[in-house]
Amino acid sequence: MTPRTCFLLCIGALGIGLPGAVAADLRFHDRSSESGIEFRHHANPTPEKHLVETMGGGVALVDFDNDGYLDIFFVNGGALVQGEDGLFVDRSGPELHDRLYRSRQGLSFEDVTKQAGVSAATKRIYGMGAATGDYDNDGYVDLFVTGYGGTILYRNLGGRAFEDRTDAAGANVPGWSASAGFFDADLDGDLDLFVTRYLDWSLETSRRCGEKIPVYCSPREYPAIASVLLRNEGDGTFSDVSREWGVAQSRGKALGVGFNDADADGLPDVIVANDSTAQQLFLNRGPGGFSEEALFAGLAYNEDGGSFAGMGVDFEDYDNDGRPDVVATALAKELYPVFRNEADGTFAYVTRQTGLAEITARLSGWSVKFADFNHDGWKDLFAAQSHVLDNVEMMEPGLVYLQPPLIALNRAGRFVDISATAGPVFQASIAGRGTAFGDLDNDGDIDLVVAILDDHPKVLYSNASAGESHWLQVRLVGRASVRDGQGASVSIRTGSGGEQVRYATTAGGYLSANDPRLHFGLGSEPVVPRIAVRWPSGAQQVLKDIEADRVITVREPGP
Amino acid sequence: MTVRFAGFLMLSASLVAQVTGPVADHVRQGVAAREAGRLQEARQQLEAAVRAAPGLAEAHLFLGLVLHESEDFSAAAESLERALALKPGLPGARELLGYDLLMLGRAAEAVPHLDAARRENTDKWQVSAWLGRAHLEAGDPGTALQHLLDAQAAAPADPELLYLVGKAYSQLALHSQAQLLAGAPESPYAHLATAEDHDFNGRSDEAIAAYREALAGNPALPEAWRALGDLEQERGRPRAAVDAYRRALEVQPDNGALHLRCGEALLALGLAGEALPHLESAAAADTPPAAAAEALGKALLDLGRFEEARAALTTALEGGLGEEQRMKVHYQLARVSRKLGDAEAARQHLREFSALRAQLTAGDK
Repeated sequence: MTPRTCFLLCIGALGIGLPGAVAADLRFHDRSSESGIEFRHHANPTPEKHLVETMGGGVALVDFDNDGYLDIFFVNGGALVQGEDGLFVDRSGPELHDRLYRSRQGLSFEDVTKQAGVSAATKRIYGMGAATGDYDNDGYVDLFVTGYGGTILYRNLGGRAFEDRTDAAGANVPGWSASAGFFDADLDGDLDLFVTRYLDWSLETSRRCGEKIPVYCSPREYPAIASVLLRNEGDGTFSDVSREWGVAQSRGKALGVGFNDADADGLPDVIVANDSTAQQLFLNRGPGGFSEEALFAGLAYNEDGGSFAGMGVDFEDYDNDGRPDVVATALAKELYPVFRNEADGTFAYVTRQTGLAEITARLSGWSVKFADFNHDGWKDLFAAQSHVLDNVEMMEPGLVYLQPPLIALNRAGRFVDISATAGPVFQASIAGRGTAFGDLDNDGDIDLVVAILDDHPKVLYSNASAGESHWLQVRLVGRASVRDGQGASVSIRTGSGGEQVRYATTAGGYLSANDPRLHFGLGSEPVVPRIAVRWPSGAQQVLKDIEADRVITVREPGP
Repeated sequence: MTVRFAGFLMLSASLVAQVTGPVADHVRQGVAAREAGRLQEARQQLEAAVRAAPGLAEAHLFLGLVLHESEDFSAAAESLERALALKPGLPGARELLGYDLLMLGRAAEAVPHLDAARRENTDKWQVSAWLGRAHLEAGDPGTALQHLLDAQAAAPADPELLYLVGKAYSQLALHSQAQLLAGAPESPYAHLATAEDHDFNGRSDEAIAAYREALAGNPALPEAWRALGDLEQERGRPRAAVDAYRRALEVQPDNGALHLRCGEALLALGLAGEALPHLESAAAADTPPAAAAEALGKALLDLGRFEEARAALTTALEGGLGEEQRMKVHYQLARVSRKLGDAEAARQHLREFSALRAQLTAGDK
């Protein structure tokens, strides 16, 4: 047995690194009907089955008014309408608007779309997803919306409303964009923006597929396209540096994006999930330069060199070795791939070893996240699910279109499916798409908002904090680094010697943006002896003996 | 297979010798017209000949031959039956009549004529083939198969014969299965037959249930355990597949193919340590060496035994794999090479992998 293998097997057996297994049985309560949220996603599917109709939509958790509670922003689809010059996207009807809901202390929400100015009613964009970040460092989180036909950049005006700055800021990304994320690529103290693009597709080039029964076309029918990297110029505008910084040279069929420091060099790297073609890992080589290294790093394909339908992606450390790993969702029979960071510049495909091969063999997923849902110190796994083809049952008996979400607990690096006991929503067949993760009611655990294609979303509250296990959340405020702390790395050491690392980002999953606060499950430990923060600026910070069960705010040191 | 009437020259000479006057003129003109390919004219002349000499069996036979060549099988059969009524032992008449009746869908009536023709002309494999086909169409696949196999011994690559032999086997199988299901519907073998039918037709859930019923009645059916394991594996349930393969191995402990399947299912569960002995047994047994070596390499890779993994995967690569398998092994060898610190070898394997992958996905945009 190699030292690496021994490490993975032994930690579970000896309990080293586990803060103590005292978590209650994890359940999620569906409070959608009493949440006040009336939003319904409208895909408006047509008989022509344009691919865009089955891919949305996203959701963002964003405390836009800084009242300490997460508000919810939903991205709607649109209607494809025949005009004089061909098909166009219509968003004018109120049912087609994006929606922002302000939290009323976490348990119910009110629709503030109109006053906030984020409906996209006048846009000809078929909506996809959202990204969040304080790009102008004014202390208020801003919004970026993706879709087919363009993008929207909303600047937050002091927590009262948003201003559409897309054109003025040079932030319109043409074509069909999917997941996006803010990150400080060049470590200059402001947030840049990575925007994935799915396919070189348009309503004009959209094809009909299926010989006898119409189906949504495979992405193999359309050419790949490069994602876009926008540099924040620090003056409220962005410049497209995709070519200059080495992103445009690598085309893909991108749907998901995540950020973390893959090679521990202090620079943010980018993982991109691509549908039915090679995944991409853009390694940051220093300000102004990325190189795509997924093939050599072992991340491009599954263990047999086969591509999979990469949809959502997360870039987090699931095995508590301090290095970010990768999980993606894929279609039935492809398995949800997990790549373990080997700390030598490469990743190992460990889907079988983590138990996820057995769990996900027949599943098809979209949003995905590693997060410690049950507060035992290990990041568990959630996936929103459904097949991409709404008539897959006719194509392949044994596969199903609508599927319940998946939740699997992490038992020292191996996952166990607990969906059967985690609440009725995990038995409900839905067309899950984007999912946002965060503490809606500020009780310390991770709640979920699941966007559903052409349906009402699910608002799910966790019961983890009702158990005896402890937790800690860290809110970051940058000074030399970006104001919202994205790109910082926070590690905690518990009394039992275990270590957990979280990377500050709101990106990850599919088309969605998450709670910016960093969440840690502590098991039975009421105090965290040591917290270390590594800021994007390079500043290091250590905090000692922090009491559990609270949200702490850590401000970057400096003048 | 078409009818070649070998006795034509003899028949026409015999016929011409027997007749005189206007009948002889009709016969001669009929023979000349047939040789020139003017079948309609030949038919008219021979019809005139039989009207003039209705008791002449050879004339009816000759007319039957021309009608057969004109693909008017119904009229040909009538003419040939008249010829045989006049002269039952007339050479060639039964062969032609049997074939024409077969073409008319009157297989049961064709059988005695073709049987007689086969006895009078034992070295003509086509007659055995027609006889086999007649039995097949008459609902006697067992007898059909005997004649078809006789014919196939002389013409092993004839496409129509290959088709007929396959059809006979298939009908025999269905016939036996029907007997089994009617006679012993609750026997393990009835469930096994049902399971195989479901399996063949892609009804996996029904097949799994029927295999389990068969095995409940008789657990000593390794082929059923194997098939059950394959289905469970295909349905993404490797744990159930392992259980099934292990039961099959209790009966056939030296079966390399079973060890390979069991090892692969254990690998799918991430249990490389348990998979390893099975894969070593598979590699040592009479299984496709490349497939066993590839799976063994993967297990060794999981276990961090990189040098041994490289050796196994290199063996696999040298074992005559198809392009897709070679692509896969190059990708795995790239990983092994990286783990062994040999970046150049890793890059070389990735180049080979990329080239193969580009070929295999050339149709994608």
